[in-house]
Amino acid sequence: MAKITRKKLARGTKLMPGHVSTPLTDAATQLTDIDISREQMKRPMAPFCVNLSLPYLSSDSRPAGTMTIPFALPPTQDFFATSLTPPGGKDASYDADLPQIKLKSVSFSFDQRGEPAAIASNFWTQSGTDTDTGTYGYSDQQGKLTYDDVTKLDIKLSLHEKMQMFFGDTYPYPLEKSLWTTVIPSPLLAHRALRHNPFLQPDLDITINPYNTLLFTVSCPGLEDSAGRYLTLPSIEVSLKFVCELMPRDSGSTSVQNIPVDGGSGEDKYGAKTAPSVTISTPSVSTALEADSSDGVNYNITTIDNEFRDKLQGGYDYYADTPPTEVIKDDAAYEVIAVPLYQNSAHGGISANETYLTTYPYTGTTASPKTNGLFDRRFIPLHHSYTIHHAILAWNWTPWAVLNATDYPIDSGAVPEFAQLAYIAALTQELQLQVGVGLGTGARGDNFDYEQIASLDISNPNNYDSTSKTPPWTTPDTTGAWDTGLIDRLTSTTAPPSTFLWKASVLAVRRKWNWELHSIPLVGTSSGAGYYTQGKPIFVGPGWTTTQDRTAIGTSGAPDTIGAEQWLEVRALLKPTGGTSLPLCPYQFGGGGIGDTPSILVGYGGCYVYLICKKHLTR
Amino acid sequence: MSWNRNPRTITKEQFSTGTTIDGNRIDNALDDVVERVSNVPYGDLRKRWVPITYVAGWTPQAPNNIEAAAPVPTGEGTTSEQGAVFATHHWPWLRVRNIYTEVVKGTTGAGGEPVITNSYRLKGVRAPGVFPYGASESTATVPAFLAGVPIGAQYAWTRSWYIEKPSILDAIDLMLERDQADASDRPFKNSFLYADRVSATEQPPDGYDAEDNDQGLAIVATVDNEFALEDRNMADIEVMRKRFSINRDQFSRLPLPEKSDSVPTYTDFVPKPSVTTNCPATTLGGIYIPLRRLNIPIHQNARLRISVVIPSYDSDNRPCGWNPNDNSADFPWLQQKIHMTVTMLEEVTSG
Repeated sequence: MAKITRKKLARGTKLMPGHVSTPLTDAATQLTDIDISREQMKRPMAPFCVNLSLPYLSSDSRPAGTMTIPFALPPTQDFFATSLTPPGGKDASYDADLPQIKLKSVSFSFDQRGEPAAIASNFWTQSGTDTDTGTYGYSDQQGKLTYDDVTKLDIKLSLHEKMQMFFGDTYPYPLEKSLWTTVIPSPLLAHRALRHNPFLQPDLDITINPYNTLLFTVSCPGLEDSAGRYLTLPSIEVSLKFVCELMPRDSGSTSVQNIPVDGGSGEDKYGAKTAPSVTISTPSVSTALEADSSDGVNYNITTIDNEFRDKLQGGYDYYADTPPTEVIKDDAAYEVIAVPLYQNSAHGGISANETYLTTYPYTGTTASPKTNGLFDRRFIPLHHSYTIHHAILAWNWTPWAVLNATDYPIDSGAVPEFAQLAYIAALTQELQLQVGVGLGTGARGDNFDYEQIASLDISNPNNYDSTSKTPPWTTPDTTGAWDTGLIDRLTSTTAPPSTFLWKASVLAVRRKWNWELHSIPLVGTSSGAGYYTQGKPIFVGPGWTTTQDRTAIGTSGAPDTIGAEQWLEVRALLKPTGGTSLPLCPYQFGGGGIGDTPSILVGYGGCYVYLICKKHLTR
Repeated sequence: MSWNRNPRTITKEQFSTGTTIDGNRIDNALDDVVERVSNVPYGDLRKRWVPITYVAGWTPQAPNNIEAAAPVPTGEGTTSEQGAVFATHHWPWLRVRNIYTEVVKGTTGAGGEPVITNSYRLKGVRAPGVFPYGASESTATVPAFLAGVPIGAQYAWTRSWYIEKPSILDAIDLMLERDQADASDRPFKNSFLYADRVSATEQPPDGYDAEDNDQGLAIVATVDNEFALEDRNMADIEVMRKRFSINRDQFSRLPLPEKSDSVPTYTDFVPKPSVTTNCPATTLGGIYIPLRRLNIPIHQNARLRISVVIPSYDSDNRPCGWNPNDNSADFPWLQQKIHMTVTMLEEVTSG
């Protein structure tokens, strides 16, 4: 218990030295033991946000105007505890000190061009309004304002949770509980003088189970229109604000990778804190109680006062450096950095047919597709220090209506009708996904290098075996080489993708799931906590002279970023493994390649990587 | 008497030699100490802010695979119907100028009815060579006012948030990623240069020389005016960067190779572009515009909007970096990959 108490000086009590010195000594001990904890702070929590950026949402999503995005908020490694042997059937452990997480508010916005209007989509086809629009998604009305259609923008937002497959959830992996739902009625977006865009839902105070998966849904059915007045929500920004109790920061030469060896408090600190010297002198027995002497009342109170006057120290500065002395025990906080990948593709998602696939860069042309995979990366500059505890990939299989079509818009001689759709998870075993997280240095610098901090390498997304013709039609939920880091699967819409499975000599169609969560293991030689085997937490923060020396990362020894990391980089590569192009990856259930099938390579709206971190008090 | 410090923060009681020390005053002072240590106000923390990061970005459609400058979207036997590849959408880029020609045909406002509330929705982002209100069409004998039809265009990607608690806008980082110059398959190659003046229709904007560095990019952060929330003319500009030579903000001045195992080599991580099997793209490069240590306070209940504005020049100013001489000429948003990160600071909270 951190709080201090004292004996009251009731009237008539004989004043003894202990009446004064004991509480002052206790107060000093709080400081010299670096024990100012969250329990004794008036503001014991820190905010963090799950910020989801979505370049657009159109009527080609399925269901029309709906996008779902899952995420997880697992405890940091020092609080992560489960009984293992994944997947399934295991329990999470809730430590008494596990910092509590609460959802506080939700901010939602999209771009209306500063007008009380809706934005016409590239599928706008209403006859009579223009002769150049059509069924191919190239309407020359796209991006324009339509004041008449803003009344269709009733937008429903919701947050659901479900048990993770890792802890026992089973096929078909449905959502379990609605945590929050609201509707932004269109009149709130249609007024000339006040529109609720950005919209805020404050004061939620919803407690979050850190071992569950959460799913945010935005749904605007009015984006679809039977008369062809199709609309879009461009530049959607969702910010789910949570608060979490403060927690101790990570330290130790063997407990944290890449942590500064030295700090403002001296050498060989590895993030450990140095206490100030705060001495309370107690008067000897039979000594008069004085004010100003070195054991006097005023002197001792002033000793404590000095620490508060100089303010209580903790946390890191801009250069990953610590103060010379610190007193705050809980100076770190939970953080999530949500990194989007494969977003904003030309057709909403990425499917295997050449006509659609080659809209994605580096994949060649329709006449000559290349063997290249689908590569994407994000560049995230570092301005503050973090320790990364988990990295989680949210992989998307959500189907969509290619070109917003209800029929087959392209000549079947050019693209088979079957291949003009995108509703089945990649029908081949020759696919490999590599996801990497790295630290980079060299932006406007003289040394350009990277250091890998997390890596995932999985293959064969449906666990197909074309020789043994598995999996059979009765088990759509098999696990295999694709699922070595599997945390969860989610069926998040009423129109999930399908999967083909073997049924005797033919095939059977079964429902798959929209999303998968995979752990991207941190590199490291010693074992850290987490869903699966991974390394210890990794410190990241731009250093300076004092903080350039770092502990090793993984097996590579001293980090190649030499304590001067400037950015985080997240990369993903979905590639063919058989020496062919993606469209020619062998179709599991017949001849030819998956380019002639409605194979989804990346689902509608793209994917996310979540970096689960501790951040620190700063500035 | 020598100077010495006295309690100032933790209690108002002071004790000095020659004055009485009575129980009540000591009691009050110790009460103050115990209360302060047991319930530390947030103002007592030297560092009491934490960062919040907003990441966005994407790889756009391949501009080099577009088979015609303008699609032919309907009709039997058209190239569209035959599966040709055209530029599809341009989300989230939207025209900055709101004008009746930017209203969907056949709907209210398309005929010039006065429905538009913010005719130029971003303050101060005008770019050389782009005239959002058009040019005067006066002649020697017939005076005319502004024609009203824009010359060139600007497109904005606007991200907006409701900032509930007092915050600090700490950083805006924008990267316009290009492929390295020596890569053979190189779809993203915006030169960020004006036209080369080879012909009369290949002119840089007035005041600029041939192939000068382009200055058409703008980054602006605004907070809506509390008393006129929807009047963009009244918005408060918190950050503005414009009229700068984009090419001066190179990500690196080093001669970075196309891939990590080419000289000069560097240490890369998996998947390695152009090194890992079937991994395309090249070493990270292009334009990096870091707006750091901004230290701009954002009041509570603010509506923060951060916009990136890019130009699309009129035909007289082409070809240029944003509008190259190929089938992607009309699509400046396809000439580079986009990465954008916004960092805010927010205080610790009581929950």
